[in-house]
Amino acid sequence: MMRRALLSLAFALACTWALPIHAGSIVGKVVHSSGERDVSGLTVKLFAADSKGGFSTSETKTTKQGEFQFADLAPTRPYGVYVEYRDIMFPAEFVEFKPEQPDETRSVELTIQDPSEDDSKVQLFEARTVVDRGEAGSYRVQQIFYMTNLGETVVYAKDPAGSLFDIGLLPKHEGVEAIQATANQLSPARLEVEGDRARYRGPVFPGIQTLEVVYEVDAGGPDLASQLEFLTQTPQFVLMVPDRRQAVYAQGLYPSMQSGQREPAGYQYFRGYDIAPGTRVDLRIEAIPEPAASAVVAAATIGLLLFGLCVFVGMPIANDLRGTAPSSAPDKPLSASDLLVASLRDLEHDYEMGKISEADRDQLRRELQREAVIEMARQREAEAKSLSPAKLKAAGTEVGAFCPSCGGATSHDDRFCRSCGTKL
Amino acid sequence: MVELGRYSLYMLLLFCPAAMIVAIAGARLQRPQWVQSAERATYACFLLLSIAMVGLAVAMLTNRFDIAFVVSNSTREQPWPFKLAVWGGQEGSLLLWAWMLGLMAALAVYQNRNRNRTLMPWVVVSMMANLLFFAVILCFVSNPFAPLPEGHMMSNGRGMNPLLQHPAMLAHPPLLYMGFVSFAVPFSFALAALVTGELGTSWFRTTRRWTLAAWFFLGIGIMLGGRWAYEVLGWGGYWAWDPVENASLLPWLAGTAYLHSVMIQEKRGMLKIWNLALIGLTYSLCIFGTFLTRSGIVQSVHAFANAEWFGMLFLFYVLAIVATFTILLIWRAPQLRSQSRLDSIASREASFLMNNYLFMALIVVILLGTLWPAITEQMTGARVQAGPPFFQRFAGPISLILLLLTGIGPLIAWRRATLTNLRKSFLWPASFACGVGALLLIGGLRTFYPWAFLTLGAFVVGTIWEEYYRGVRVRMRRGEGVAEAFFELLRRNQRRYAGYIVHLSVVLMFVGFAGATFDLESTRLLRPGEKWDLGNYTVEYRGVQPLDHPHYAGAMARLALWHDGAPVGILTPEKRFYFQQNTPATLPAVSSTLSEDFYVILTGLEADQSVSLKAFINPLVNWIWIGGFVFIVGNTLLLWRLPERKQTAEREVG
Repeated sequence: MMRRALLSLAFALACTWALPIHAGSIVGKVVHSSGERDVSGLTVKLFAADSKGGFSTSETKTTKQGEFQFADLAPTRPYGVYVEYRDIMFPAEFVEFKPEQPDETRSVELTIQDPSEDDSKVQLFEARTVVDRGEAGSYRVQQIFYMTNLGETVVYAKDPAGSLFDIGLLPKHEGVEAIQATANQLSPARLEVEGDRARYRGPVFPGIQTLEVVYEVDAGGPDLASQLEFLTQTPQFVLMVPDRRQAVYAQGLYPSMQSGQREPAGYQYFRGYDIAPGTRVDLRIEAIPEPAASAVVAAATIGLLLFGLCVFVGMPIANDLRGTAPSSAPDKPLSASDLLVASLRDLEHDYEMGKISEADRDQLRRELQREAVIEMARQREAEAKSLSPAKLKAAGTEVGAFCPSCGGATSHDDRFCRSCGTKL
Repeated sequence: MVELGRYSLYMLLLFCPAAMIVAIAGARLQRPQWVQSAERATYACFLLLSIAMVGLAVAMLTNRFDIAFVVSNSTREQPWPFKLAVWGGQEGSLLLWAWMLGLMAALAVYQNRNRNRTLMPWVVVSMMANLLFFAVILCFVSNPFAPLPEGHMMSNGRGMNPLLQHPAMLAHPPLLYMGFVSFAVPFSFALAALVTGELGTSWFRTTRRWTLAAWFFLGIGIMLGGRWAYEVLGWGGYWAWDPVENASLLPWLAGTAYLHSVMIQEKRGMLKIWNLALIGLTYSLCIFGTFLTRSGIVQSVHAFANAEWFGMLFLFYVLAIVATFTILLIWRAPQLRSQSRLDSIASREASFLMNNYLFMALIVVILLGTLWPAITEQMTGARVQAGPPFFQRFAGPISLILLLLTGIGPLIAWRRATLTNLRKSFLWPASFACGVGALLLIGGLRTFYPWAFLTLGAFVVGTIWEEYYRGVRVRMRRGEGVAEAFFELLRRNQRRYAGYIVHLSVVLMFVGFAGATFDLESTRLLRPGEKWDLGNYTVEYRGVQPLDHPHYAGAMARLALWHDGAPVGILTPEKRFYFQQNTPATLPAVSSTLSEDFYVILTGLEADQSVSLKAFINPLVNWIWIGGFVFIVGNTLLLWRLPERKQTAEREVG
């Protein structure tokens, strides 16, 4: 029995040994940009994100030829390979193993260089401050600096005690405490934070980098009244405050939109341009109280307006239904003679100007008169429809005939045309 | 007041349908009191819209940054006239549109309180149906009083687009809207005439002045837009055949066709269906223009950013208008037969008819070119833009014939013109035109279109002169002096002779357009102290100075300008960047004379203070603006009647 168990165990172990191990390797070499420096014994670090959101690290040293190796790497997440040289962590090379080739060996080359002290090509191109209200009387202030190195060499501050950027925030404001400071991909040790000031001595690698400092500010109440201080020439500055019913006064900065944004969304933006070192910007953030109870007055006014308009509009119908409606104003149709007179006048003018012959004038005149007669008959018919029999009878005496000369309306009593004076 | 304005919009949803229902009931049941109620509801709608307008103005003036529209279109620092220019944003422009529609409806109702009683209920129905559409949009889709999300409040706004902060912008959009909206009145009367069968002359006589006013406002609005583009946008031109520019031109062209063809109905009783169709088309094109601006189906500098379905609402609205009007027109067609027929091709009727065909052709071409990107996208999946050359290829010859007809129309006789009549009328203007044409050829003008435009322009001027001259002579035969004869002629035939002034304005504008053929354009990088020769001009770059303003930063170049060796002055083109809107702006500098403009913009600034300049020499461009001024004078005379001399003098109605 015992023997059978031991044999089973031995078989199982043999099987395990015979199964392929899914583990990749990274082999690499560190190269100095000048090609002349000693690259042996440098620390190379491997970072890998673990499944819990954290990082696991391992490190090794380079050989005389600057070579290094990391083996038995599980195909999990991307690996970052960094090399440290003269206290600078150089930017990583990233390696990811493909699931279909998990045990492949990947090679990387890391380039290092001696840092320069020439900071002429290092510029800050934008600073961004996000101020958000925190717990009971506190504010969370996040400062992000976007810097660029337009050269090809990593840059350090000349003076070990000096700095490339001085970052000021809320000068002389009590209760300021930095709670987090990160220089993305850079050595955190170079970012020194003390109270409301931060100093960054480098390194700044070629390209664009960010620097972030987060402060906790005890405002002593719901409102913040302080200053922003600029210690470094800042080409573009953006202040962002969530638009949660709070008025923001940032003297000298311009309210603006985020690029491409038309409608307000999320944050109030304030921008400043080419801000000189030493500039201070007053910053006040005040909660805006909910509007007072003027809603009652507004509702009453709206109600009154609605009631008044309903009465105004409904009155004629109400009168009609009650039978107390005053007689409506008589329809005064446009007199067809007006049009006829104008047209005849035009016709006469054309004739006098020699544009038409006499025969044509007469023909056109007859046409116009006929059109006017039809129109007036139509109007009388429409009028008759809207009049009571008594009024119709009265109207019959008003509208008689038409002047044969100008077509103007005449009554039966008229002996001369009211428009042109022709004897009827 | 702001809250009152907000709820006034919602009250429209009660009074607009109420007016429509009561008007229809009043008309059907023959209850004039009910129609009166509907008319009162129209006044109520106008009052509510006025309260909303005042409410929005108060919100803008008192910096109510809890309202999204105020945040997007105003700042604390914005000058008050621009705070009141609520048409800078989508919601405000729609409110202005609705307010104007309410105003027009109220004015039309008041003007006709004692007349056109059969038509009025349906006029009210039409106007209120239009207003209801805008009320629904304003309440539920694009509300100018919409607050920021709950609990949000900005301490300052983003402000109006700085390019819009120009005096012309205070007038350009309202005038355009006034033009668009005023066409709703003749449209509603035409619709009412079709519904009631009152197809006589009442509807167009009542609305003649409305149509003229709408056409006038639209024309001025278009022209101010051109002037603004020329002065502010810095691309050296005034008309780019942009879809939204085209959208404003289309109803204006249709309106022009209508104003001419309605004269044939007045004088000869012809073209009744055509005139109704034209007024329907004009108003449909007004709404179509709004659809283009707000739908996003065409790319335009004027377009508002919107969801596609927002445009669909407008498309539905346009289609509803077109369908309703067309059905009614077909229904009434048998009653609209002409009493007269065209007697001769050599007659004023024929020339007006030809003018109408050409306007229709122009409308079709512009409409097709404007919609071409959308059409090609549907057919091929790729948007193909119809650029200015497409429009110019067709608009050139059509405009040329239209200009010729502008000269022929007034001189030729109604019914038929005899050879003697034609010879007598056209001898002098044609000789004058031939003379001018020959002089232009001798002067070296060999390009066809400008030569033809200037020659035909001379012909039109000749005909206008002939008309005034002969008219004054006729009056002088009655013993009047020259001045008296002139004013009597104008007063007694005001419509006709004011119309000639409008024709003159068109000629002046065509002179400006013809000049565009010879536009000169060049770009150059200049170092300080360097000189640049362009045409007869010499520019010396004397340096640049930074602009430091609370709202913008930028640079201003100083340029000394000489023309033919004689100093003209210092030009200072600017390049600005507005902080609040993150918007750059190029401000040109212009040296103007009647013969040409020297127009220069600053396109770039180098580290060594070199500047990149773009200069244009635009010949005759100022004649367009002069033409615009004459257009205003002519239309003012058309709209405001000169006082009658005698008590018994005939009144012209409408």
